[in-house]
Amino acid sequence: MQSLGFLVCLLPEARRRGLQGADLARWARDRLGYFNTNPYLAGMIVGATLHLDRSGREEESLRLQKGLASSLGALGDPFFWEGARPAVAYLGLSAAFLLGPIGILAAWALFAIASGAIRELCLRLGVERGPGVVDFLTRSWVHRSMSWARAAAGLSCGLALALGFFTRWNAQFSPFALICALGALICGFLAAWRRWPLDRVLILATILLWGILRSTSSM
Amino acid sequence: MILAAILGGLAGADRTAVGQTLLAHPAVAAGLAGWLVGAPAEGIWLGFCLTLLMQRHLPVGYESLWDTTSLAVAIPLAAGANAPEWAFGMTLVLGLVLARPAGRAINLLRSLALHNRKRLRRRLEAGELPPLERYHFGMSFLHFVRGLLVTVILALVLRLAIGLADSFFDESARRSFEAIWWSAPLLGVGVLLRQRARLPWLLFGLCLASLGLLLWGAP
Repeated sequence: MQSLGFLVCLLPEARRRGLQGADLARWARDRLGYFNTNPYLAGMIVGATLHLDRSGREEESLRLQKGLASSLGALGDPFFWEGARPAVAYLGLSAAFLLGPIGILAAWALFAIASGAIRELCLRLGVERGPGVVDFLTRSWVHRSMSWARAAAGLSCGLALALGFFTRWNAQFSPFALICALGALICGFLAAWRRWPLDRVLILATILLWGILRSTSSM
Repeated sequence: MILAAILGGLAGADRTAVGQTLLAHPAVAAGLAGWLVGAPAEGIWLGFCLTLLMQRHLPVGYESLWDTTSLAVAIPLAAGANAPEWAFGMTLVLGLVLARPAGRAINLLRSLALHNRKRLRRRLEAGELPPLERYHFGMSFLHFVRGLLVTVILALVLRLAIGLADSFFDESARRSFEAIWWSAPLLGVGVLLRQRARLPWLLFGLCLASLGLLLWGAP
C-alpha cells in the first residue's frame, strides 16, 4: 500500500512537468517498486524525491528512495511505535482516570497535531535539502530521541498504572483481589519469559480461577 | 450503535491506510466507544487492559496481528451501558481469542494491495496508464469497510455470548470473569517487568503518581 501511496503523492508533480501517456507510464513504473518505511517520516522521502526530480536527477532519486526508506524505518519505528505512541496513549489514560473521556480526546488531538507537524516538517526538509537530509539523520540528537521516547513511554506507563489501579482498586480491595493480582503478575511475567501468547494465558487463568471458585463454593 | 460502528470503520482505516493519528490505538478507540455507548469508565478501563496486554505486538512489517482496534470498539458496543463487570471480563477473554482471526482480514487486504501493485506494474510496463489515484483511494476505503464489518461482526458475536452466558453461567463463573476484568492489566505489568530498559522509568512514574495521590488525594 505504501508504494502506491508514495506514487500517488508524486503524480501531481510529474503531471506538472508535462509527463503524459507512455512517458508518464514509464516514470510511474520506475517508482512502483517495493517501498516500506515509517509512515510518519515518509514525507522526507517524498520531499527529497521531488527535489531531485525537479533538478533532473531521476536516477539518483530512485537510489535515494531505497536507501532512505530503510534508514527512516529503523529510526522511526522505535521512536513512534515503542516511544511516542505508547507515551501519549498512557498519558491519555492517566488524564482519563482523572478527568474522564476528555483526557483520551486530548491525547488523541495532541498526537494527531504533533504527528501532522512532524510529517509537514519532514516533507519541507526533504524538498529543501534533497539528498542533504542524510546529514540531518546522522545528527546525534535524532538518535538520542529514540531512547528519550522510550523513557517517556515508561514514565507515562508508570503514571497510568498508579492512577488506574488506585481509582479502580480503591473500592474493590480485598484478600481475594490481592491473590488475583499476584497471580496475574506472576502469569504475565512467566508469559513474557517463556514467550507464551497472552490470550491463551488469560483463558487458562480464567479456567483455573473458575475451577477454584467453583470448588470452594461447593465445599 | 451506528456511530460506534462508524468509529470502528474510521479506526480500522486509521490503523493502516489513513492518518495513523492514534484513533486506532486501543486506549483511544475503547475510550471513545465506551463514551459513545454510555459506559465511559468501562471504556477507559478496557483501553488500559488492551494497551497493557498488547504492548509486545507492534504493527511493523508483515507480522500477523490481533485486531485489537476493532475489539476495543466491539466490546463496549456488545456490552452496552449497564452491563455487569463479568460481562466485560468475559467479552475481553473471548474477544482476544476472536481478535487474532479478525486480524487476518488486515493481512488479506495487504495481499490484495500486493496483487494490485503487480497488476498495475504489468499495465505500466505495457505503456498503459491505469487510474492510480482511484486504486489508492479504493484500497483506503476498503480498510474503512474492513474495520466497520469486523467491528459489527465481533460486536454481534460478543452480544450473543453475553446473552448465552447470562442464562447458563453460575455465580462462580461470573465472579471469575469479574476478577479477570479488574486484574487483566496486571498480566501486562508482568510483561513490563521483563523490559529492563523501561523499568526504571516505569517505577519513577509509578512513584511520582503515588506521591501525587498521597499529597492531593484520590480523584
